Amino acid sequence: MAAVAIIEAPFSQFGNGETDVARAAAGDRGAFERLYRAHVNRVFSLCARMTGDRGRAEELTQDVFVRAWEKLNLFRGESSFGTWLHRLTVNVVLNARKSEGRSRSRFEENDDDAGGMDARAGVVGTPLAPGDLLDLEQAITKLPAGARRVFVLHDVEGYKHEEIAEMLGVTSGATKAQLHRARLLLREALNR
Amino acid sequence: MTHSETTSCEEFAEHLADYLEHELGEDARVRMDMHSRTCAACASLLADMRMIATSAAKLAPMAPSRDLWAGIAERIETPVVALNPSGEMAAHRGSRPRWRGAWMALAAAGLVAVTATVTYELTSRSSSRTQSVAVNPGSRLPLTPVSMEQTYDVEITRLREIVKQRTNQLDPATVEVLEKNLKVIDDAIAQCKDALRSDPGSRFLIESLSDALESKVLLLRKAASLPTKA
Repeated sequence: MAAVAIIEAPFSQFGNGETDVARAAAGDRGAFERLYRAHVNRVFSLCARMTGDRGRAEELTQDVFVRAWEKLNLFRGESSFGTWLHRLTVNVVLNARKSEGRSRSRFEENDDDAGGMDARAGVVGTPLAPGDLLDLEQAITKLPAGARRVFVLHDVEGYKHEEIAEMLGVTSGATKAQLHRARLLLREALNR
Repeated sequence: MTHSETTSCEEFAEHLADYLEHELGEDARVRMDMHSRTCAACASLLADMRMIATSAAKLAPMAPSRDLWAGIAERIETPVVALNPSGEMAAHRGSRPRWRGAWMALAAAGLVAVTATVTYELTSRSSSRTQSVAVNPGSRLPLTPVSMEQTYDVEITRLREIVKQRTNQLDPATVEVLEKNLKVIDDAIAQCKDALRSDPGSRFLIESLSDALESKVLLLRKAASLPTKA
């Protein structure tokens, strides 16, 4: 999984990640701060892309690390700390979504609103100008919430449809449809 | 679709998602391949969809606009005080304590004051302080009310001066709300200090005082950065 490979990279750079995990699990805040510094950008990126809101993502990033501190004693080392933290991040973001205002959620989950994008556009259209990744980053934030989450989890983070479906509590058919829709919307956005 | 049939652009679009997921049968896949080789528009669509997926996997990590460690450190260093079944107080690391009664007023004032923005100055100071801290699971950071107050007082005095200079630039109603909130917090600070004189070893009181002082700093900082009235 691409996401796991990416998020684990800092460990190889720091060399003592596993030691810090053990120390942090034993209550060493200094070790936990080192883990934070090694992983914060990956956690923040995931939060920011899933929510489309950098300010909210900063709050969620803090929530993730507080949760990680609280639950570190439950980390069994069966996966890498990066993988564990990554999954924890997804859970925190999704749980926050559930607990936030229902009116907004209903609007977002309905996903009929495409944020100014035409969901059918781009099926047969002009070629995508390469642009740059910043354009893509910006376009992702404008996706409808449901399509954005699936796109980020699948295309950015590398999760499989079955895994995403389990996280979101939907069918894998639904995540496939959302992913396709997201790609079409992004194509349209990048062509503008 | 069967192998002998031709594929229209509409059919290509309809089956594109399954094609990209490698979920089409052999015949259908061959027909999609053939169509994409003969239709420039659909070939472009296919290439774009693949490019988006490829580019997404290569997106660089983003960094938060500020150092978030200070807020995290604060939360993990503050134990939750809860009653266990035997009625004794038990400390747990994690979230902030939940208060009742008169403390709710302080909490409310804190909520008014607290913002998600922490200045770089405070962040770096807190970060450097916590970086060297290593404690055992059962131990806690030593809290001394005097040193804590001194730390906050420096910041409060500085912010107070800034807010004082800006008073004429702010809406009077805003200033009134600010002063009322400061009064609530100052009352809470005074109560904590009074109680600490009787019970100087109370961790609850020390942390309550710390939170009250922090609320005051955050409120003043927010007031100091308010935009000038129109």
